[in-house]
Order: sequence, then structure tokens, then C-alpha cells
Amino acid sequence: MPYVPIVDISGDSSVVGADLDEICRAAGFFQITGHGIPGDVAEPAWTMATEFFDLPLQDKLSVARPAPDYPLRLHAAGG
Amino acid sequence: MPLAGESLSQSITGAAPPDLKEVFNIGPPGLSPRQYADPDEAWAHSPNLWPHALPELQPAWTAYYNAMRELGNQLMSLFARGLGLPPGFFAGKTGHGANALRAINYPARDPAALPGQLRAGAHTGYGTVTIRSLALFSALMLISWKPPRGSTTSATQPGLTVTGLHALDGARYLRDALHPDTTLCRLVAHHSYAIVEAGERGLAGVLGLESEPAPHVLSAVLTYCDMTTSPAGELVPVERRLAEIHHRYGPGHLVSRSIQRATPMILRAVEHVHRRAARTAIALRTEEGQCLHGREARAGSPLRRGSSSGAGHSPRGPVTFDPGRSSSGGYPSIRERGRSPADSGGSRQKEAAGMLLDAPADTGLDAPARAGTMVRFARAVRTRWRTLFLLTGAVLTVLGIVLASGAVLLPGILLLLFALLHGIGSSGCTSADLLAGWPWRG
Repeated sequence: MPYVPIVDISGDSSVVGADLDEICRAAGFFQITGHGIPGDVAEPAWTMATEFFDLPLQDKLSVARPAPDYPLRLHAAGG
Repeated sequence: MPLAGESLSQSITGAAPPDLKEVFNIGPPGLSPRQYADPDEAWAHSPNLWPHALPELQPAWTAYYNAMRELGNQLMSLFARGLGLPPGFFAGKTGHGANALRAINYPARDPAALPGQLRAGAHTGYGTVTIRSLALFSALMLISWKPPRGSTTSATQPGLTVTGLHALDGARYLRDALHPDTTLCRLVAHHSYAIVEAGERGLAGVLGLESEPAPHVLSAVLTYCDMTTSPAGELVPVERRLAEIHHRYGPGHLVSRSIQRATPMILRAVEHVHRRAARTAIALRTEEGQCLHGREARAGSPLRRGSSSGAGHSPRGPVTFDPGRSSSGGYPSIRERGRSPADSGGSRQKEAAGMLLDAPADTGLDAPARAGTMVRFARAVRTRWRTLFLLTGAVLTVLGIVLASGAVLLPGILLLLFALLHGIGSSGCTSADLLAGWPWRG
């Protein structure tokens, strides 16, 4: 039985589009391959994120939100 | 955002304790060339905050942000195609959105969790699309998902074949989707004595053939972590964890039966890890000169051979766990950061893991050095029993042959066989051991 849907998005866009339509109606999430994000873009982002969390708490707090309503950018508006 | 700075489930329930995680977010890098339509839009594009202590963060994250925004736009275009709309239908609506790129860290849990407090509370995604790097834990989370009855996903490649044995399904999914180090697959496949449940499901052969058991010491630590952590992520005594599993599946269920059968081995593994962690804690305290009695215990402890008592360096220095890159360009996604002895008090699991990785495998039990002769003899028998059995067996066998006495020869041969076979059994073939009913050995 197929479970977590995996989609290669580098294929023909009308076919991939139709596949995604069906998957999103059935599951709502999927794994993509063929996204073309180069490793030398993804990897430094990952490394830097882990190095950031390794910083002393004081350095991390230096980029704490200056105000409670500073945008987290999770909502369209309103924080 | 520091620990406990956000509560995701507040978006659903209205009130919930904050999540135990740290988050680093950025929005659109640089100023947008567009004129903002209203103050709300300008607000959503507030400048990003970058730490001075890590100047390389900004260029790396800016490049990644731009790449992910392009990917998001590509997905929106594909969605438009799927809906029978022109490919650029969403471009003017979402193409310049104030997308968020966030990294989430789940540090070892120092403060005890409040009732109902989770790492990330239940929530529904806020935006149009969430693109998540394929983290190991996501993979493990997804294996419990089942599609609605009757749905067809014929257009998709099989991502996960479900046998019902989550250890096997999870290991297969890891292997196929993430291509990690084989040890990781082996650990997942055989975690918490999954071979027992595999036996109940008639899958023992499949599990054993597909995945060799992971090294004993690692397996024990994973079992310890699994069996002392509740589904909500709280540290619980092993007995409560076992009771929870029984309660969840109900009496007579296959999983309950399997857990029942595996319980003696689980208890032994948990006890073993717990004892060893406690012993190393004594050794560490002694090193710091705070516990005189520790020295005695340490003298009797084989753990002192490990590097875990070094005061000048962290015995559990940065442990980077790299499950390997997936063929589709994913990147390593789980990483256990090292913790120094000074700040490691809160996570006995990681502590135990670090200690066991440092420590040589042994079967010795700790006993104070002042123990009497009988205790020392008993310990010698425990640790050197195989040699004793072999010697006694050989002597009896020779005597039996010389005296032509079956009553002497037979026990001799039995002793020899037992010592020899037990030696083979402990060479790493855990699943065979378990199927044959051998007790767990560290």
C-alpha cells in the first residue's frame, strides 16, 4: 500500500499538478523530490542554524523580539 | 525565541503552556522593492534581527530563504495547474508574501514539563504551504499516519509499505527515503525488542533478514529512552510506561502480548543503563573531589577505564549525528549537540547515552571495594564464569574419559557446550538470542 506520497516535482507540470491535486485531497501533505535546491545552499543554512543554537544564551537573546508584537510571520497580520 | 516562548496549541485551544523549544525566525531578507499597500504589510516586512556573534548566519540564511521562496512559488504554480488555473494564477497573490523561515531547536529538557506541556503543541499550519526539511523525527512521526479508508493515491510512489510492525515500517521508510547510516536503520528496526512483536506477527524472519540487530550497548540506550518516555514526552518510570502501553492496547492485544513477553528484557536493559549512568555519576563526582565514598565505588567500577571522568574536557563532546544525505538533496537533519558535564544534569537519557558510548562493554556489577572475600568470589564467578565453566567442563570430560564414567563425562560435556554456545550467542546476534530465549546481556 502506498503511504507517505512522494512527488518528483521536476516532471511535466500538468502531470505533477494533477498528482498534487489528488494527493492534497487525500492526505494534505507529501514529500517532494527533484526540487533542485543545491546542497551548497541547504547545507550552510542547516549548519548555521545549529551553530546559532549552540551560541551562549546571551548571544541568542540578542536577537529576541524587541516587542511582543514583533512579527513572527506566521500570521498574515496581527502577530 | 527562547525556550517556552511560544505556544502553538494556543492557536487552537486558546490557552496552553508554552512549547519547550527554541526558535530562530527570519522574514523576507532586505527591503522589498515594492511599495507597501498598508501599514500592516509594512509591519509584516519588519527587518530581520541577526546575531553579531555569528556573522555567517545572514548570507547562508538569505540564500536559503530565496531558494525556498522560489520553491514555494513553484509549488503554488503547480497547485494552480492542478486546479485547472493558469500557472501564474497565485503569483501576484503569494509571490511577495512575508514568508517565514524558521529553525526550531529542542534542547535537552532542564526544567520539568508542566502538565500538558509539549515540545510543539498541536496546531494547524498557518500559511498556504509549509515546506519542512525532511527531519528524522518527521519521518518517525509520519509512520503512524494512515490515509482515509478507500482513498487512492495511485499517482504516487510507494513511500511506506505498512506491515503493521512500526519498527520494520519505520526502518524501511528511513532506509528508502533518507538513506541514512545502516546502524540507524538497525536501531529503529530492533528498538525495544521489536523482534518479539515481529515474532507475534510472523515477521521475525523478515525483520532479522532485513536488519541486523544494532550493537547491544546502543540498543540498550535506545530501549532505555523509549521505555522511560511517555507518549507526551515526559520522563516516566519504566513500569508506568509499560502500564501505559498495556492500557492503550488493552488486554489480549498483540502489542500488549508482545510487550508482556519483552518485559523482562526491557527491565534488564533499563536497569543496566540506569545503573551504569549512576555509577558514572559517582565517578564524575569523585573526580571533582566532592564525594570521598565515590572513590571506593569507582575502584570497583570498570567504567573508570572510559574517558568519562575527564575533568578538563567534555566526555560527551559535540556528537554530530549525520544520517546521510538523501538522493533528492535533503540534508542531515538530526543532530545531538554535545553537553558539558556542568549542564548535563537535566537529561539523564543523553547522559546515559554519552556514558555508554564511552564505556567498554562489560558485564561486571558494581560492588564496593571493601566487599568481603565471598562477595569478591561471587563477582569473579559472575564475570569469569565462562572460563570457569570451560575449565571445569574440560577437567570433568578428561576425568570421565579416563575413568570411563558416564556420570562424570556427561556433566563435563554439558558444561563445555554451555560455555561454548553462550559465547557464540553473545557475539552480536541478538535476535537469534531472543528467539532462542537467551536472556539479555549487556
